[in-house]
Amino acid sequence: MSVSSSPSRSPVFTRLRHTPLRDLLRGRLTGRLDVERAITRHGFPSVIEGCLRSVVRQTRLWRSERVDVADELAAHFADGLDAGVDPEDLARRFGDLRRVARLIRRAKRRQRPLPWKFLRWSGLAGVALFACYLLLGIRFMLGRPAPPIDYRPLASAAAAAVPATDRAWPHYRAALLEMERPEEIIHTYNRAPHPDEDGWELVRVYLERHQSSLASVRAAAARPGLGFVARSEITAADRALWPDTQPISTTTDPMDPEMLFSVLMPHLSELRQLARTLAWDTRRAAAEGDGVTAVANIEAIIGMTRHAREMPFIINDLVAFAILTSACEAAGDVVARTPTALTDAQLVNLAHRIAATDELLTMRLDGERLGFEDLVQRSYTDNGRGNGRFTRQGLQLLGMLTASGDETERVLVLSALPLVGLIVPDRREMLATYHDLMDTFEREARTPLWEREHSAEDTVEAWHGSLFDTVRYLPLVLTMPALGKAAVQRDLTTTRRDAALVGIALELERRSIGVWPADLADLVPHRLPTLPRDPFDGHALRYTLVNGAPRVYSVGTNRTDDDGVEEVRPGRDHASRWMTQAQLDASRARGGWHAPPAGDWILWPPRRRPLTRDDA
Amino acid sequence: MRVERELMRGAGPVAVLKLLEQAEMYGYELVQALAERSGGILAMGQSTLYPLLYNLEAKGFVASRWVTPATGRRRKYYTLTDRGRRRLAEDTEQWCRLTSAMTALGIVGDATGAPRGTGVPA
Repeated sequence: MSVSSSPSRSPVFTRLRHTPLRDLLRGRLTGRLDVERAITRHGFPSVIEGCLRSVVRQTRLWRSERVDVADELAAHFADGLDAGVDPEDLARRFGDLRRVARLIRRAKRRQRPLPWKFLRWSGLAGVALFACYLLLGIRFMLGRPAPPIDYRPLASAAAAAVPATDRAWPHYRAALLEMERPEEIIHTYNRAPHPDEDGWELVRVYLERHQSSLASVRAAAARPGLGFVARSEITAADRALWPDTQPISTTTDPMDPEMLFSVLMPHLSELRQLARTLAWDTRRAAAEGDGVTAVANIEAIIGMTRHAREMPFIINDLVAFAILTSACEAAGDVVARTPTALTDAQLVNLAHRIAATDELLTMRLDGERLGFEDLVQRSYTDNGRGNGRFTRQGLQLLGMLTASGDETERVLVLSALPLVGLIVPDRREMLATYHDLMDTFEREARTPLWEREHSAEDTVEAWHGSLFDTVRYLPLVLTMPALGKAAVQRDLTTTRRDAALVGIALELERRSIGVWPADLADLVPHRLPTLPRDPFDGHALRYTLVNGAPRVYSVGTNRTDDDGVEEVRPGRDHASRWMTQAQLDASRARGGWHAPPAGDWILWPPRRRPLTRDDA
Repeated sequence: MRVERELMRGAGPVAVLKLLEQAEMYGYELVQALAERSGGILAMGQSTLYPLLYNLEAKGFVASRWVTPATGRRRKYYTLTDRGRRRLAEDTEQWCRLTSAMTALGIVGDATGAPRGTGVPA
């Protein structure tokens, strides 16, 4: 007995075709992969040959495996025939050919090498994953948000409720159309010059030219409501004011109402500029001894603060804080630098007007909540029970809101759709998370600044640090405004307002006793009901006399009393920048450029930024 | 009498391993030996035998080699590996226990080989 391989007698081409590369490289023309030759070379009766061919073909194995099976089964049939078994009987005893082929295929594949098995299972797992991913994608693509409710009227309800005859906006608009914009002042100086500064003449001439319009603005500011119904487009009446402003479309279906986030509020920047102009005019009037106009201007700016807050968005509040700040700074400036312009009665009246602004120093999140609910209704399906799943339209909408138009990014986003759909929480959870977060913001905003040890943005910042959370809370991450910073802004505005009131009280006391009081406590209770608190440490605002001149201040960012001395370093943060205690400690530890702003925050008399000419 | 397929699935491999323990054999030879030595009870069709052999080979219980005698037919011979030998010992042990249990239950005949307990009086 010897181990051998059987040589082929097939034509050369056929042998070449059935010779494995390995044999060819060794110079051998074996033709050993010829399955048909392995079946026919024994000269079996046709019934056996057909049976053999059928089984081998149906195994769908590799050629080398099929030759091996064919050789072995051929030997089996040959042995059967040699034993005298009838060919028909032999074929019949072989059983169901399809089943035999299937079993042989299964068993033979188990013998294949480990790398092949690994690749096969990897491939199958990949196909299965792809199929699941595809199904998810289809599910994601098929989800459709319900037709959206128009949230814009809800947010504009207060404006729409103002009777046409009481509306201030048409009067502001008329004044704005009459007035030239103070481009020359804005573009010549870094801020408007004050009456005792070079460049004041430019401001004075501008103000003189627009006295009539400013009177209209004051009259408008006294009206009960603004009545600016914010829309997604500019109305015909306002078109003359903003001819170039284009509507913002946030819907994919032209039949759907536009989003609440699409409403245009260009009137806010107009109100802010009008307030600045009235503040300039306050200083002009005081410098010219016209206390009546000065007080009227401050009252008007406060009225504009109220008007700016007509819609319940955080941006309205922020603009209102800025406008109120200009009123308080102008009042504080006039009282400190031109006190003779105002009578005692005018000072008391001014103090009462400024003190009655508590309601303007609240922060409202109603508009943000409505806006997010609007976003959710357009991004999620609605199962009728307050829940639903994130949809393709939602992702498109977020892309639109973040203005991501890059083609590569779009392809990436599209391929990630099913994954995003899987990760993003359902409608109920997303809304609950959002409202929980807003509730937390509101609680934090109610905490006094000196006790606030957590920045409201920390939660969202933490999400930014994790790719999973960023994707999971994508609608939240992309739309959440900087509420913590807004709350700080509110508190600092309150402090500026309080400082203006302290300044008025000090001036009244000086008039009464002939000298500046030695202590702020001397003003309580006849000038001030209580002493305002320093937002940085919770103590009363500080007061000192420097060379006989009064100075009201806060300890500022570093929370250290530097005796009313401020540190002025160009390019550095002002000492009014608020940090949590932890942030302050970290900032101190890093030192150098990262060290917290030193010195105190001087509140009254108000500090002026150095005046520079932009064209200098 | 043919054994049910499920029973054959358990008995077939151990029977083949047992035959190969004694000698190296090729496919047709195994078919014949199984039929003869089990009195036809374990007669195995080709459709069962070859996949069974390939499975045993895949698990490393048997090894194969092609042999071409000087005169005669080229055949694939199967032989028991060490691993197969250990497996056979384990399977034999289990079959013995099973048989004991069946005997105790009266399903398999007693030591004399007489069947027990059909419940029908003689």
